[in-house]
Amino acid sequence: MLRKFLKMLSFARPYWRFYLTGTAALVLVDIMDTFTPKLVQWAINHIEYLTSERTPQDYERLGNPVMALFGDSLTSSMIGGIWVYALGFVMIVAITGLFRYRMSLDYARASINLTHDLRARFFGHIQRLASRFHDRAKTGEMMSLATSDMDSVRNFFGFGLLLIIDTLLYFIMVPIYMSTISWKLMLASALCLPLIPLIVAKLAHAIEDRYDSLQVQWAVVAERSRESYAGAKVIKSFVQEDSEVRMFGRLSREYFRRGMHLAKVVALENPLLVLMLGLADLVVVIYGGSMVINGEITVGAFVAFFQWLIRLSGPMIGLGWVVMLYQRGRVSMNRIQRIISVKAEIVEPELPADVRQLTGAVEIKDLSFKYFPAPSVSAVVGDDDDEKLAEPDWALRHVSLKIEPGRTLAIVGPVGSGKSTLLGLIPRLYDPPSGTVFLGGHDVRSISLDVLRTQIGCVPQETFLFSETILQNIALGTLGNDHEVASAGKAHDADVEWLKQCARIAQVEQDVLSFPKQYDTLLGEKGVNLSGGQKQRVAIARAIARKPAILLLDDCLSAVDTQTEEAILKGLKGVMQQCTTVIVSHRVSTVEHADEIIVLDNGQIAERGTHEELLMNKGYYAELHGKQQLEVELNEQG
Amino acid sequence: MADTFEEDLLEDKIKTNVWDPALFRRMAGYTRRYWLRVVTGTLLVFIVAGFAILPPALMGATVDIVFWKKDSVLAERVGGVIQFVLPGFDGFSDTNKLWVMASLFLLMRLGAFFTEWGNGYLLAGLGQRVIHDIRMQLFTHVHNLSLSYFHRHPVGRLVTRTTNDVGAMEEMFSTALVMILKDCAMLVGIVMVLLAINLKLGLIAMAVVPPMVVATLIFRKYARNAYRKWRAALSRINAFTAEVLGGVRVVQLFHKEERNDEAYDKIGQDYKKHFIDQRTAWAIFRPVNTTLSAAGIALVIAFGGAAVIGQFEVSGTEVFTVGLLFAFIGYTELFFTPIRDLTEKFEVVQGAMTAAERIFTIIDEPKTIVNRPGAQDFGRVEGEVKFEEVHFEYKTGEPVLRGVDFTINAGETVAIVGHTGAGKTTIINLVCRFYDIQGGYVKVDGHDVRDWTLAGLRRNIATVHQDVFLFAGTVFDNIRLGDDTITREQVEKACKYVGADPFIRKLDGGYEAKVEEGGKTFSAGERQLLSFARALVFDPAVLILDEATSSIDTHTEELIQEALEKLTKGRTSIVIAHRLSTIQKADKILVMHKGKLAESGSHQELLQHKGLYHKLYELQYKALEDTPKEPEIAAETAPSLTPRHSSGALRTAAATATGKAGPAASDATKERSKSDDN
Repeated sequence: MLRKFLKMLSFARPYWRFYLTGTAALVLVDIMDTFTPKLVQWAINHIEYLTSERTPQDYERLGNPVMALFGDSLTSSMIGGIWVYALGFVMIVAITGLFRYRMSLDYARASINLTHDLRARFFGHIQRLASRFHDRAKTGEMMSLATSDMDSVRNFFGFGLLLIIDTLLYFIMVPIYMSTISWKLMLASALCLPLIPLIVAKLAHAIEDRYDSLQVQWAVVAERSRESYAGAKVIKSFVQEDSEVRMFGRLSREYFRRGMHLAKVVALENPLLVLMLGLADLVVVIYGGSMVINGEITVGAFVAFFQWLIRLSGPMIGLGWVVMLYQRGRVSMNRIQRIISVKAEIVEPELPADVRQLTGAVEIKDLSFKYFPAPSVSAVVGDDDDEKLAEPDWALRHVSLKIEPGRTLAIVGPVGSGKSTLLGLIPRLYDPPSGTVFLGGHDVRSISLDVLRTQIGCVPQETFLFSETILQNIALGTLGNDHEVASAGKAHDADVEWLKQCARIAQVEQDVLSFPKQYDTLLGEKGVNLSGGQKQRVAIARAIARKPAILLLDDCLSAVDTQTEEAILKGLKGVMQQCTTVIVSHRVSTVEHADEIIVLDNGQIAERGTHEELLMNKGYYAELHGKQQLEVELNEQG
Repeated sequence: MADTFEEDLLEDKIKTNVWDPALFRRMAGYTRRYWLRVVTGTLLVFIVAGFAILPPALMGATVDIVFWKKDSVLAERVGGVIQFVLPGFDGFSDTNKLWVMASLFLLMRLGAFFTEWGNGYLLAGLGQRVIHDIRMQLFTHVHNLSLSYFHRHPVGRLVTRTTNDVGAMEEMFSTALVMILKDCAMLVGIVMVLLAINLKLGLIAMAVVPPMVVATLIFRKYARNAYRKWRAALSRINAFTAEVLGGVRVVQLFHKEERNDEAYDKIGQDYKKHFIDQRTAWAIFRPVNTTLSAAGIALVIAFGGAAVIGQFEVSGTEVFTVGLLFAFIGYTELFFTPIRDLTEKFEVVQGAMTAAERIFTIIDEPKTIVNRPGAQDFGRVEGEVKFEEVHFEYKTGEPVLRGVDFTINAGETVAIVGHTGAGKTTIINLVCRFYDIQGGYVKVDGHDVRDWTLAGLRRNIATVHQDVFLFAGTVFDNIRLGDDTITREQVEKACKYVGADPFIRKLDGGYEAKVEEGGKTFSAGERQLLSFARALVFDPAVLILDEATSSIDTHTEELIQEALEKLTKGRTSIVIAHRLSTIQKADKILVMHKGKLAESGSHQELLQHKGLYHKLYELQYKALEDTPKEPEIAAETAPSLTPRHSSGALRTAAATATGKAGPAASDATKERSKSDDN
């Protein structure tokens, strides 16, 4: 318990300056705040004195040094000197306020800086995690880590820590002040108090459990609504709106049920605490009251005692919060840390080969590859402890091939035959076993990622564009000043001209120019305002803009029609002469000019050779060609 | 559409007047159904508030009755009540009186406990019910909006409305409103008690209220601003994170990680700044507030103290006692708590109001595609589909269909071909009445689709989309969707029929196998087969199929072809065809070009016609080596294609040919002319 807490605290260490000044301010605030009842006590003593027969010495004996100190000079001043207490009261609270300001801001700064750094680390880490991890990570899960867990952490390190220290200070200060009146009364009233943290802890636990279960259902509701809205067209087509609403209603009602389950405890929390504090009050009324009757303490002391009890009530209730904030913060921090500690498997080689420039030569030697699934996010963060990972099948088996610089390799084959897998291993999107994939004679795993990922141009099967301008999208990852391409006007003219040239090659310039802002058109999230074909073409422009040594095209023309494909390929011809190209396609017409064509089937190279050689082979390729040839002939008949 | 993302950001800066009474009334309207709960809750709130303001009075009375032994107003009143219930109280010893007072305390505490607990639970129930209602209303409404709404609004935003925004209202209904009511009741109660005890001193104690109100108003202005900026910065961070997560592979392939780190840091710094700004507002406000309340207490001590020692005249005859002073201090302290709480609840209400405004914006979105008055369900159709002079545009001024006429006889299989943007998808959208046309008629079995009830019409039609959408759930659920009347046997039968059964059985769990988010685990071919089964199980009279362009392995391809044949048998089928085999087998081919029906007929007829279809056909299937030498289609063929249309339509066609059409329609043209340039 304590170790866990200390470990949690260790995350706060880099921000100690904020915590130091903030805590110093907090200590002063608490000292002054707990002192004010004393002033009230003295003030009432003073009034008592002015209306009774007691002497200042009586009051000194009863714990009031003021009158003895100032004596007659005070009582003979305006309204019997009571103004001193009133003024003192206001001044103390005002000064407290200044420190309170400092305290709030320092804690806020500490927590926001901590969260900011943690968030940046988390973000930086997840974007470097291997594809293996992302294959199994749901965006929703990751987002909830980045948002709600991050909030829990911030709440603990800001408000939570503040409350802990605050509560602690009150628990020390208030009893000390109370025992200046009577330690017996202090003990008697304190007898009821230990019950409070116990009840609070129990309640907080129940609240947390129920809250978590509510959060789970919240995610279910969110996910269902997302799917339902995304699939609106299907739902409409099959007239399933009503059943969809019914289904959603069930989920929403379950959320309601869990919400009520939580409300049962939450509604109890505050009243129960107030009741417990009320019992402490009762002890003071009875025991303290009889002490007043017996003349052991003054009425002023009696009144002050209540004020201290009131001051204790805040921290008491705060204790309930502290437990919850701490537990949530710890669980969330734990989850985030677990993600951060997931190894970024694909990292800079320890001893990078001395390669600055890829030659374009690609060699693959007896490559066999399996996708070992990474643990899912819920397994990583500890929500799902007994996840079983199935043993995967071979995705590639004994693949060997060689591409000379500037040549083109084409890959065909049925879906799931390993084409994309093979492509993904070249830029180390997945890690091949060492000694299997060589670029320019160097094992790909020994080449600096910096070299690898700036000199390979890749058009993945699924197009993803960023919500930046079209020009920025095309400029993505081009060497040098890509992020300075804020708009077409600001960047270097020659660079912009090259980017536009790439757009022209990819046959997308016409489309771009038809937008009002042309190249400066800001794409919506995931490029929603472009058609699938336009997106693919921007992605192609993006891949060639970096003047890659190796160009990887993964079935990247599926959403453009045939004649555009033809035009793109023609435009690419020039580019393809200057770099090594690996192209995956299903159309014979796309691949037939490649220097070598391989047919992958079930992860193995089934056929290989040139177009002509493969035709002689009478295998898959010939069959594919035959079909398409048939179409050509039919065409001629017509 | 280009600015959806910017809009999304701007939306966080929505200009809500926090105390917009109309908005508030509308929100409150949702509680009407639960009026009994509201009334009980409100009554209980007053009792809770009553219990909350009793302690200082009781304390003051105790001091005066037991210790000070002076007859103050409080001592008289409270003592009077006790005397009434417990005759002989006056004669009790001090210690016994103390015990009586203590019992009163206990009773009061217990009363407060039970009422507050009950009330909290009662109102949490109200909040939960109300948000369930709002959520359901929103969800139902969204599903009744036309498809075009979904195109204009990203799914993510709609989800945020359904979850986060509804959640923001939850807190307001279940806690914030109660607290506000309770705080107000307490304030009124305290003012009344203060003035009742002593008018003059009561007014003095409240002297600090006006500056406090001013401070609160000033604070509110700053806090609101800072809060909004903070939320906007937060949503920027979230949007950025989500985007990078979505495109993480591209990030890595293009080595964008470091650039992202920088960008993230920048957005984060911005967020930090706004967070601190917002905290600063609070950090200033709270001390000002406590200082003012201390000033109030100081006034009470000074003037009340002076009154006790007789140096300040509070009123003619009454004695002012330490007990009263005690009660006064207690009340003055208690007085500022509700004021402070009220301003803190402000944040919640502010959030809820903003959320409500966004939700209501959606709820107020008119349903554009609705049943006309007198719309009928004509039951099961034969399957004749007819377009008569159909004019349609998605966006005003950008016609997509410009006078389309055709008839598809019941049972016929029709293939629609044409360039991207020629209007193929639009045609199938119109048959299902996903959009309403601007001119002409779309008729199914002779009835205008607008005379049909939407459900009646769409129940006759099943659509297989190009990108098959799978829901998270089981395979079984994905085929029958939400229709509980479809049995397992029917589903299995359909799957066997289309050839999906073998691969489903191979899945872990078979028909009960889990389909993951987006159906990632299925190949394109498998998804197609699943969607065929889905269409078949609903046994439509009209089948609409947007053939997938994505490549599928040969085996599955064969399965699909077989399934397709079975599927189209005995029902009207409209296919946006991408495969030659599909086109050839069609009874009729509709060739769309720039929003017009260019040609129609069988494959052979059209080839012989040597028109647009012939050219299209050559382009689509010709091998690469023969560089096409066709002239610009639009310029040459468009006029010759339209002999049967009016000259008006011809002029429009000519205008389009010169490049004045909207971006979608002219897309194909541009791609064409590009290919010729090369």
